[in-house]
Amino acid sequence: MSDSRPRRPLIVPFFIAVPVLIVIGLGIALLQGNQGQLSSGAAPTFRLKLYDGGTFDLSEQRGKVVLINFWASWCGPCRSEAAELNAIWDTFRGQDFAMIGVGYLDNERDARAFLAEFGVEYPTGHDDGSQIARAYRIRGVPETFIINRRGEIAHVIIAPTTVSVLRPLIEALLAQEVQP
Amino acid sequence: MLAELGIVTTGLALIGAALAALFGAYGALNRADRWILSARNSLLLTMPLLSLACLSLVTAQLTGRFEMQYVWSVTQINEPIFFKITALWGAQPGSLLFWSWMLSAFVAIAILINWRSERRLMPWMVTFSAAVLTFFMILVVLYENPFARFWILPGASQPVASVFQPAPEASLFFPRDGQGLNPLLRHFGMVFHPPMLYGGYVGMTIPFAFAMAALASGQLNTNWIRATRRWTLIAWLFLSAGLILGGRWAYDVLGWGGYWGWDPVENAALLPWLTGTAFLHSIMIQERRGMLKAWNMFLIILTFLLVILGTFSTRSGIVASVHSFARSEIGMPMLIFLGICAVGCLGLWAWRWSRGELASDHRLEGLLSRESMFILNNWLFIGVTVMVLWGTYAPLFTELLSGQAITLGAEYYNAVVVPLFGAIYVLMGIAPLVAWKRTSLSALGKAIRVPLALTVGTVLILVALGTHEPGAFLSYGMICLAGYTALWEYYRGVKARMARGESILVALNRLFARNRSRYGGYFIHLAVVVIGIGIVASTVYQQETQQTLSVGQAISLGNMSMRYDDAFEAVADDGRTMVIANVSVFRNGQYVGTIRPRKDFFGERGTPMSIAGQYTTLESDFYVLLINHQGDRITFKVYLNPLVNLVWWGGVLLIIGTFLAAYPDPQRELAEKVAEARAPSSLQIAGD
Repeated sequence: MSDSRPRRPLIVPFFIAVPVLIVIGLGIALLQGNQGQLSSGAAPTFRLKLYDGGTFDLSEQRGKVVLINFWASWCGPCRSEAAELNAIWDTFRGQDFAMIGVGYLDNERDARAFLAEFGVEYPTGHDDGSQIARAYRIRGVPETFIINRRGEIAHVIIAPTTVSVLRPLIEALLAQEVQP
Repeated sequence: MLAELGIVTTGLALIGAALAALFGAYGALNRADRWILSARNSLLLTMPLLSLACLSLVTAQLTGRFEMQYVWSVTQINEPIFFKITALWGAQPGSLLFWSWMLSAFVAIAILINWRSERRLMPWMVTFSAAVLTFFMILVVLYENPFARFWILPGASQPVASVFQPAPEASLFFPRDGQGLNPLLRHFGMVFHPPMLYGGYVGMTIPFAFAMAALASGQLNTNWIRATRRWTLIAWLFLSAGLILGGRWAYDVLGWGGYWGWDPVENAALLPWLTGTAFLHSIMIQERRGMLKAWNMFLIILTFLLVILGTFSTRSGIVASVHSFARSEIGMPMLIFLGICAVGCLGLWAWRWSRGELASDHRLEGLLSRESMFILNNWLFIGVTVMVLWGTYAPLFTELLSGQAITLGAEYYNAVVVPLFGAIYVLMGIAPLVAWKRTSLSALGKAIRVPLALTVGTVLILVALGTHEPGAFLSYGMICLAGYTALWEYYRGVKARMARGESILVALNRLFARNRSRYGGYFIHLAVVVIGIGIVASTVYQQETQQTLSVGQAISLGNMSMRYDDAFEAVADDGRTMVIANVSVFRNGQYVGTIRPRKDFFGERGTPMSIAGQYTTLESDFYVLLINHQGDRITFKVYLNPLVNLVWWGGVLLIIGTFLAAYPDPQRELAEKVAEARAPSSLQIAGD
């Protein structure tokens, strides 16, 4: 807009430098994100501060089947699977089963409103700095990982899931013996 | 056969586009007409070739050729024919082909219309549009080929997808049925939303190519703007319609009672719309006063770069979104293309600018003038663009720089973008009343008296009727001022003509005919006012509640209430199971109708999707979602969205207004051409 005056050569490099820097930044982000999805092997351990105060430590859950659900209050499909996840928690909560909702790129107020709206009772907390999301290299939300009793990733479910999908997977893993 | 036809036609289209780019550049640099003509013909040929490719893919979708990987991934035997056709843009490979076809068609039309009238720009215009098409054809042919088929290699347990026979002994694999279209896309809004958005994206390529042609050829007078104003309007119309349809789709299908969530993909479509809107306004200064030449050039380049950026972020999966495509291999080539465009186009632009070739013919004469109002408008739109850009990419960049991703949600946008939009509405209320060149405050005060008085009156009435939130009546005030000013301009124009003895209809008609871009523009302003009222009312006054009901129980919200009557399960033609509730709706206690909110479960995995039941009046939308069912107890979520329908009706008005503004005006165009023919070196003459 400065061309109402004769010339302003100094501002020219600025108009070029900013877009180029943006492109370079996107390139780095793309390269970093291009590693494949984590789908097998030992599940990365993590500790997560929960919304209700406590802490969830994955390494303490060894011997149990663990369901890890990555979610966000802004994510439409997460809303559709919320009731399904509640039902899974109600079904298995008394058994050798643990469940954790890992909040992804969320803010606390919206997250709490989401949890209240759907009456979520299983432990949930926010993944500050997306540390856990990066360790599991998720591609988006929702994503669900099921960890077997030996602490290995047994199943990865990308996209919203349902009771009918989860229940047989968890039952089969619960039926496996714990290796000493 | 269909696959082979597709492979051959897309391959030829890639070669045609690449040759057109090379021939065009060579011909333009050496002023060799035969090369330029070859480039033109070769580029024109890509349109029928890509039409054939699209036709063969659609035929394969309709006839269930599941040996083709793309057909298998987006269609299913028992899907309605309608969705089998629209599956063309149901996933990445097909939508890229469809995109390329649209680009080839737009380019062909632009070449045929402008070949004679813009003779000096066309060689480079052909070159630049061919280069863009070449890039997209590389993606279609080499990265995301929709004509890849499944093959079985002897001894292998899984079929592999490949464009060509991977080994001589490999044989085709024919799956019995496909996966079917993504359930979320089975909605009429989703059927038209992608083609509209692509039309907007692709359409912006035409003004971009003309602008680059002007930069490359040094024909930097205002011809390129005259050639592209209508194209920009058409692209802008497509983008607007795409955004509104996308909002409607989100409202009906995503089931959260809203239509805009500042989702990265929505933002990706909003960004070029914002800069395109700024461009449509600022070119008026260049047409009229020969100012802002460098700025207009920058705006259209920026718009094109934002189109490519938006396409990149949607299709590479780099930003997490509710409706991005799956992560794919095309991210890096798209980013390289974006980088080349940014450096090359902006470099060329900066070179012309530093040589002083984009200098203005006039200076800004008065601080209070129509010109300065347009400049302010541009700053505001660029401000919104920068803020939305930052909000969209903040998580990425903060994580790169500090290792900690910062996400900006609705609070950020409400705090930053909403005031800027408020300022834009105020400007819409003032700017049309400000004269060109210079005006005085007292003249403006005189002109604005009536719209301002009407606005104050309206706000007082609203407050008296019970609008007490300051945010609401302030917003209504700013929006109303914009509306009253547009109406006042119509009134003044019509009154002046009626004073000469014309009847009201004749006067209105001639008013439009004399200055389509101005009065069509005011019509668009009115549409934006209607949309604004809808957005403010449905955001500030939305009510919601959620309750679990047994048969016969009811929920009340505002003056509306609903009673849960019964529920049943059904299976649709395409195999999905549905839980449907019958809900009676009451308004002020009077029964007004029955709606059927339902929840669909798709496929073997039972992917659920909530379809709201809506009872719609102009005054409000009573929006009922079936959240969960257990036995005969159902959890309903109910929204009361006041005036939300104004958003959709405003969208319709906006489309009408754009047509009014873009409608060809043969007499005026002829006059411009004659004037130009008499003054061939208008570049020198235009200077003071």
